Amino acid sequence: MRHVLKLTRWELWKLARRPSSYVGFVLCLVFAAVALIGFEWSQHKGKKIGGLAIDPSQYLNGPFFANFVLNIGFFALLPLVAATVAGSQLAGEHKDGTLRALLVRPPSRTAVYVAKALASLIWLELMVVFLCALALLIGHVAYGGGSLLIYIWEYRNAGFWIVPADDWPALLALACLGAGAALAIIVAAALCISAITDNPVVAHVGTLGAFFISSVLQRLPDEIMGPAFKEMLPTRHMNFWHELYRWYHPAGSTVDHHRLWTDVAWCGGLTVGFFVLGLVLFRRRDLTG
Amino acid sequence: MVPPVLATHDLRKRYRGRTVVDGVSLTVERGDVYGFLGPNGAGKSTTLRMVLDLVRPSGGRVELFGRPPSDRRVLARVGAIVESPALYMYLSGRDNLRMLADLSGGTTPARIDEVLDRVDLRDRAGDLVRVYSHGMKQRLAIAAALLPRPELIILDEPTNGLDPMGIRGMRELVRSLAADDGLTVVLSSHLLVEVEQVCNRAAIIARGRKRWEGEVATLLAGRERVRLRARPLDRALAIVGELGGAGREVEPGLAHVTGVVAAALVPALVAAGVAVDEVAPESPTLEDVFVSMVDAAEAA
Repeated sequence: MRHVLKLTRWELWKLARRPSSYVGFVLCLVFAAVALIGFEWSQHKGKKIGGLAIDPSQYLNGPFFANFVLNIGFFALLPLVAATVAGSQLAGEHKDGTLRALLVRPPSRTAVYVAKALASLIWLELMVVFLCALALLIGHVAYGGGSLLIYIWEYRNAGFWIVPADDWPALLALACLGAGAALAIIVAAALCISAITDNPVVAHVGTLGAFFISSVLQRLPDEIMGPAFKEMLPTRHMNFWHELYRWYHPAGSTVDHHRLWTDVAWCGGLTVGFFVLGLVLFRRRDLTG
Repeated sequence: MVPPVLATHDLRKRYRGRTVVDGVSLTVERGDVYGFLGPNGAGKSTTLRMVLDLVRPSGGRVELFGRPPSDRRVLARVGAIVESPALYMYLSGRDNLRMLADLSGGTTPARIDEVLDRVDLRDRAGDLVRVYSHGMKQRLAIAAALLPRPELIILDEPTNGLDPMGIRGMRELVRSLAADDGLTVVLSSHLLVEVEQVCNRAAIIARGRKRWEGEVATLLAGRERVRLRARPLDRALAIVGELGGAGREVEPGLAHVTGVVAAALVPALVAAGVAVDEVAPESPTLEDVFVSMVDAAEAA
């Protein structure tokens, strides 16, 4: 345990000192800027947000923009960042030869693996918070503050609801934590692939490929891809954190607890599964590079 | 009884059906400067990786200070450089040392300065490793290996890629590690002159198998030979045989003769009417012995 804590601290320190670690932050900045341009364009065209019968200018504000960017970024950007950070952890160091320098020292392979997983998760969570905070700042500057309009596509039948200005900071903080936790499955998968290759690109592409294949399979009709099979797909369960929004429904919590805990269990199980598989492979692996 | 610093017992490694290390048993005692010799691809690095628990043996076992390397505590007593220096290019030399020292059990800033002085890098310690020359990286890697005050240091091809001055400096450093610091040193190399100059004991490995292990001086002793140029050479070699020696033509008109001293050979050749152009006693180099062993391994 002592070694794990020490290693995690050094892994975070290395991430902070490595210039390539900041590519994800730059991407977040670009992503938020592009989203802002999209919003501007949408306003100028006089379109309604999500086809809702509301006046966009009333609720198009900082918190709405931040929440929008977080939700779109969750599928469009953050998986890329998660796969890149975690996929480089073992394969990148193996390629550079520095993994040897770590493993000829007293900390065990298990400690090295666990520390790299923890550091990747913490770095990813920082990135999620950065994306949301950046979007909030940009949104505030562009549109000002106010209440947060919640409209989630999965709950479209429930319409939209408004979270007061006093409550949305806590909601957004919870959403950031939830999104980061859901992305742990990608971190675990990337680390697993990273444990068996000495080319980080293989880990990045392999993980993202699996993620997108899962996303596509999930959207196929039930006649082609049965519900039982879809249930096993990671992307089927990664939206569990959307339930957090329903805690803040003005009519009281409308959280579907069964769905929430089923999704959490699937995500947790798959994350632990990838993590343990990667650890077993890493412990058995010959480091010849 | 104090166990050897390093011992391997019938160590084996197979990759995809191909045997790369085949029953290698080595013993390194405290205070040895031990040369591990072999041509490229002989299995030296794989053996050292098994010693350091980077590669899992297919058979046999390794002991460091009497303990298996899977007992990670024993690695705190070992400093190692395996093949190229493994350093973080985006960190400074000092930051590399700080991190690696902490993972080896911790050290003081004074100790970091001490090892930087030792490898003559203190002035450049704040620079990113990315801008170091290969020789500087190699020296920094040695500094990292020395930080936790190891009892055994394993250097795998430490002079690879160095310029002549760098090679000379590295050899002096290795000698000093043994003589001044009292470290046990295992030096893997395919450069025989390096081992001959620096090591007291050595092992020779070829095609994954150990061919010889012992004192370097013993290996060379008793292998003195006579360099003989004579006409006709075949008649001269027949006389060598009559005197109980053995000769081998190594180039037209020149033979290497063993088992007969020059003082006995010359009168016999003259008496037989052989024209003697050159007779010179020669001590073989480690390279001569090594080449003959590797040739024998290849032939087998």
